[in-house]
Amino acid sequence: MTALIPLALAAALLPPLLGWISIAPNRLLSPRAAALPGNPPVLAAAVLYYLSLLGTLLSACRPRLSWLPEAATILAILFLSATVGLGTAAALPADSTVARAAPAAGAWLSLLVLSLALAAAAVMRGGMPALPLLVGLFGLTVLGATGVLDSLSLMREAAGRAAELRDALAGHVALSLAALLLALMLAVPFSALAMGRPRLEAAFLTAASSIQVIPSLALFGLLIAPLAALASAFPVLRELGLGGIGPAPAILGIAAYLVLPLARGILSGLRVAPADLVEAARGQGLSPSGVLWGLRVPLGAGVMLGALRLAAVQAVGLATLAALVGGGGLGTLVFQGIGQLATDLILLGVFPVLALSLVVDAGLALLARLVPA
Amino acid sequence: MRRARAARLAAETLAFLAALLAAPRAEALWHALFPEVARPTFQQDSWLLLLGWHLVLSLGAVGLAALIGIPAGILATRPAGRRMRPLLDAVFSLAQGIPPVAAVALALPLLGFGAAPTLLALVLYAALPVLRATVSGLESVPASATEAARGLGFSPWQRLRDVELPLARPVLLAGMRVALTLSVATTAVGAVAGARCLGTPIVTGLANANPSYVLQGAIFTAWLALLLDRALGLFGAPGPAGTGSPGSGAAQP
Repeated sequence: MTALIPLALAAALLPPLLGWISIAPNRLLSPRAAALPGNPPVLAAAVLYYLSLLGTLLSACRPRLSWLPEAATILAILFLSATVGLGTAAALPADSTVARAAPAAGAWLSLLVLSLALAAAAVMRGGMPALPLLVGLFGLTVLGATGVLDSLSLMREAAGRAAELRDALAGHVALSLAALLLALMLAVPFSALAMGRPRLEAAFLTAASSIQVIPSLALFGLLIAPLAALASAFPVLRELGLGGIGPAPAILGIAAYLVLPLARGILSGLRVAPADLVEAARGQGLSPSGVLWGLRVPLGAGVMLGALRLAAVQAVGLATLAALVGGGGLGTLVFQGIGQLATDLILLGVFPVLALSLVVDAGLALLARLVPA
Repeated sequence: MRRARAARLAAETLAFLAALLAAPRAEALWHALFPEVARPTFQQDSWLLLLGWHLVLSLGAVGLAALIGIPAGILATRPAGRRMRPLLDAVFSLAQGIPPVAAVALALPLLGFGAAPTLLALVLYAALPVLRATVSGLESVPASATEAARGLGFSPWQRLRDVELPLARPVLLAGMRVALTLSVATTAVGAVAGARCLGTPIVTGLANANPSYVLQGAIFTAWLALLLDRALGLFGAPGPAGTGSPGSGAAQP
């Protein structure tokens, strides 16, 4: 548990040293760190923040209740956010509608350090880091719903772009799912074919792994011209939504990266069943498909689900780049933000990507736990 | 065998350079491929310059990542550093959820447009596979080997240098290979943040609806990535398809 102590100390010291909140007179001027207003709700939140940090420290030193450090750290994250939210609400000039408030460097770094502490505490307990992070995220969502964080420019941006954000999120999920399904449609039959054919397997895995080396931006770019040519040669395809610019190159490109982890996972999953057990089953007169579905698949399900989890998390990350080729998704917000150098917009795109990959990671990990190893 | 592979790689590198020099002069080819594009040949920047920047950024980042990742990995496997191990795992699992594009984007408001945010994101990202490979490589060294070295009177430093690191070398090299792939790809994405590299024609082409620029940039970016990967493979680094790359995990941003 000692790894938590420096983290908790850093989280305690960073906000007073580098600032809790920052205020910018308008969107164009850069924000400056501002003093934390001393009104009772802000002070109460700050005190609760330090009490939670103390809880993390104490529970880290006495590893009696193993989930206690995680609970205390989640509370610390929530109270830090509340302090910043209440602080900015009080510090924003009441007469200005263009002034923008954000957490200052100290608060941001503390949030990062606390997320690390949360993940580290989960690892030390022998659990998955994604789960407590997800609980923390849920807590933040509830906190956001109460309106405590409303004065933060990020929340204002989110409120102003609610419809856009929803579309981008839905688009992101659709892109990742479509790519994952396409990759599964390739990886499953190929793995089944390659099972007893080592040379085919080697050739397939080599091809899939050289795709892995190609930068995703280049792969998407390489797909644009052929897809555009296809769509202009067969107008039917264009009506189906297939074209050079749009989701098609992104989905194909993402799927191309997912084939290798999926195929490798499926193949090693199929090999989990010990050879003598397979022999024995055959000796009992079990048909090849009986061996596959009754023995190989159930025994290898854990490994295969692990590969699916890796591929799904990768799909969520890769889908961010789809916006560059006109494929939509949360990358749209990220690249708009880059174009305007607008931090809030970038964060508005990045946070949901992070949340989505946490959800996918934790969800599939839980699913894998249900499967007897 | 290895000599033949090296010769082939050298020949392919020459072909790559020749194609790079020929690209701005192949107006006829690009025009034939994209008849509807008014200016199909990318000439805003010298391709050699773009290649140079791409190499400087991505190789520089891998170099810096090795300088950070290998010592950190060694520290994390020493008795004194073991306690920090959960922290490392936490960093890995958090970083896995943030695509490098997002890292470049987040570094942008801090560092402004240009190569700086890309380099920061690159170093941080490339350091992770190196670190992870160093740790798993050193942990895969059989205890009997270190015990034997201890029995022979090796000092901890000698054990590390003469026994552990040589035995961990294949895994470490595999990690470097992942780091290289990652950083070549992230550098290309850095073009969005204003870093000049082989990704620049792709991004320019996408912004100006010029599929010819996109294709030219994509060809050279992909080709460079494949060449560099093969070059590292020549040094004995197991490839991504190899069985000996534990913890290499996701490579693409």
